Amino acid sequence: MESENRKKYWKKNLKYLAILLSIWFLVSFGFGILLVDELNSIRFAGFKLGFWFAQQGAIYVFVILIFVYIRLMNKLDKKFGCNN
Amino acid sequence: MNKEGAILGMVVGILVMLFYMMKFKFDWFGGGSKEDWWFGISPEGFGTIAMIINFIISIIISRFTPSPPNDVQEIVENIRIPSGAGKATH
Amino acid sequence: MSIQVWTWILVGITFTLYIGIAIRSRAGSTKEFYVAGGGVSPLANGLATAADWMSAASFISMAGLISFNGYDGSVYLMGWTGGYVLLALLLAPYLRKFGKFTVPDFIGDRYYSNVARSVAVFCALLVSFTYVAGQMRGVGLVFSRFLEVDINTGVIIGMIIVLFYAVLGGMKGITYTQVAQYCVLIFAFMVPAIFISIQMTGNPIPQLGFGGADENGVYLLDKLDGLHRELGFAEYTSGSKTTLDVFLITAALMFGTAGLPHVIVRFFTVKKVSDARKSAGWALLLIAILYTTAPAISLFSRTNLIETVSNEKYEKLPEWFSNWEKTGLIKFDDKNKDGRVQYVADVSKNELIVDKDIMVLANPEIAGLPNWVIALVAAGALAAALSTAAGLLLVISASVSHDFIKKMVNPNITEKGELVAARLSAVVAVVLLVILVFIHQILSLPQ
Repeated sequence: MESENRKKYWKKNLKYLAILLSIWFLVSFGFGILLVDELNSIRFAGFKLGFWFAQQGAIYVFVILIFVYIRLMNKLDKKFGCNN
Repeated sequence: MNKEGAILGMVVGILVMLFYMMKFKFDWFGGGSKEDWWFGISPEGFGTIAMIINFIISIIISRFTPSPPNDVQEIVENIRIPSGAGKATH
Repeated sequence: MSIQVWTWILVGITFTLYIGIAIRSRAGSTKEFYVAGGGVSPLANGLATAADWMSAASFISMAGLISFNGYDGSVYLMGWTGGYVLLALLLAPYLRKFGKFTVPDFIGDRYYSNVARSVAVFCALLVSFTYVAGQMRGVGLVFSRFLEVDINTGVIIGMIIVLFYAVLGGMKGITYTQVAQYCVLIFAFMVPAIFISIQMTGNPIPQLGFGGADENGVYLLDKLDGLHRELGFAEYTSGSKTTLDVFLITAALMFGTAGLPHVIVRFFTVKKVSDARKSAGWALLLIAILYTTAPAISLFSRTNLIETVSNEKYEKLPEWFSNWEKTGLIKFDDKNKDGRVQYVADVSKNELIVDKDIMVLANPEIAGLPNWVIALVAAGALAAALSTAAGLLLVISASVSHDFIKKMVNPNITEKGELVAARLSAVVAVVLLVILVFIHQILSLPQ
C-alpha cells in the first residue's frame, strides 16, 4: 500500500480506537468506579445502577466493543484492499 | 520508542514493583502495614503506578538517545497494515 | 453414589479425553510446538484462549472473593475482562502481523537488542512461575477435598497430566485440549449456578437471578445488604476500599491481563490478522459467560452461608459444614461458649473463619444439590487449573528453548534439537515447581 493510503488507513484506525477506548473507560472507570455512588441512587429491576455496571454491565459493553471493532476494521480493510 | 527507553523503562518498572511487593507482602526492606502504604495504595494496585513510572522513564530516556534504525522503523510501519501477514515463523 | 466416587468417575473421563486429544495432536515441528502450526480457527482459538486464561482463580477463587468483598470484588470482574478489550484493540492484530513465536521475540526484534530480549524473558518467567504455583494450589485443593488424596500427591498427579499433554502436543496439543477443557469448565460452572438461581429466585438465568427476589419479593441484593448491616459488615453493594485503590487495582488488572504471556502467545496461532481480532472477540464472549454468572454465584453463596450458619447451633449444622471442617478451610471457635455460631465483623467476637476459596466448591453442597453436580464442579475446577498450567508451562518452555537457546546461545541448533530442548525445559520446569510447592508446604506447616 502506498504511503498516502497507509497514512489514511492508520488515521482511521486511530480514530476508531479513540472512540472505542473512551467508551471502555467511561463504562468501567466512569460508571463502575468514579461515579458509582451517584449512579447507585438509580435503581432498576433489583439492581443499583452503579453496582450493576461494575459487576455485570461493563462486561457486556466490553464484548460489544470488541465485536464493533472487528466489524469496523473488516470494512476498513476491505476499503483499503488489505483484507487477506 | 527506542531500545534504551524500552529497556530502562522495563527494568525500573519491574524493580519498583518488586520492591513494593516484597516490602508490603513479604516484609522485606523493613516491611510495613496498611498505614505505611504510599498514598494509601495497596500492593495490588501499585502495579498501575509502576506501569506509569515505566512509561515516563521510557519516554524521557528515548528523547535523549538515538532513534531506532531505519529497518526497525520499517517494522513499525509494516505492522500497522494487516495484509501480507505471513505464517508465524522464527 | 458418594461424592468421591462420582468425582473419580468424572475426573477419570475428562482426563482420558485430554490425554486422547493430546496424543492425536502430537507436535512434530517447532512450528507446531510453539504456535500449533499457525492454522487455528478464530472460534477454536477463542475457546482455547478462554480456557487457557480462566484458571483456578477465575473458577474457584473469584466468586469467593466477590462473595466476601461485595462491590470491591468488581475489580476482578472489570479488570480481568477489560484487559481483553486492550488486547483485541491494541495488541493482538499487530503481534500477529509481526508473526514470530513469542513475546520476548517481539521485544528483542522491535527494540533491536538482546538485552531487551533478556529483560522480557525474565519478566515472562517471573509471571509464569508465580502464576503456575497458584494453579497448583487449586489442583491440590480439589484433590484433597474431593478425592481425599493428600494435597502434595494431588499436585504431583495434576502436574504429570499437564506435563504429558504439554510435552507431547506442544501448543497444538494444548490448544485442542483447552477447547475440551472450556466445555467442561463452563458446563461445570453453569449447572450449579442455574440450579441455585432457580432455588433462590425462580429464575434459571443466573445473570437475571442476580437481580432477583426471594419468595417474599425481597430483592436478594437488598436482603444481603441488610444481613451485612446486622452483622456489622460493610454493605455488600458498597464495599470498603477507597475509590483510588479500586481504580488502581482495576487498572493494574486490566493492563496486566493484556500483558499476560500465555494469552498473547495464543494470538500467534491463527492464520491472519483479522482472525486475531475475531478470536479475541470470541474469547471475551466465552469468558463473559462465566464472568457474568460469577457475581450471581457470589451473591447466592454469601446469602446461603449467612442464612444457614449465622447464629445457628453448632451441633445442628448441616453435613457440608463438617465435611469442609475436615479440610481446615472452615473453622469454628466458640469464644462465648454458647454453642452457637456468631459470624460478625468484629474480629474479637467473630467465631467463624472461612477460607474464601471454598465458596464456589462448597456452594452446591450448601444448596443441597445432588452428588454428581458437586463432582462436576470438581472436574470443572481441575479443567480450569490444568488448562492454564499447560499454557504457562509452554511459555516457560518456549522462553528457554526459543528465546534463550535458539536466539541467544546457539542459533545453529537444529529444528529437532530445539524441539528436544523445548520438551526438556518443560520437564525441568515441572520438577522445579513441584519442589517449590513442597518447600512452601513444609515452610508453612506449624512447628
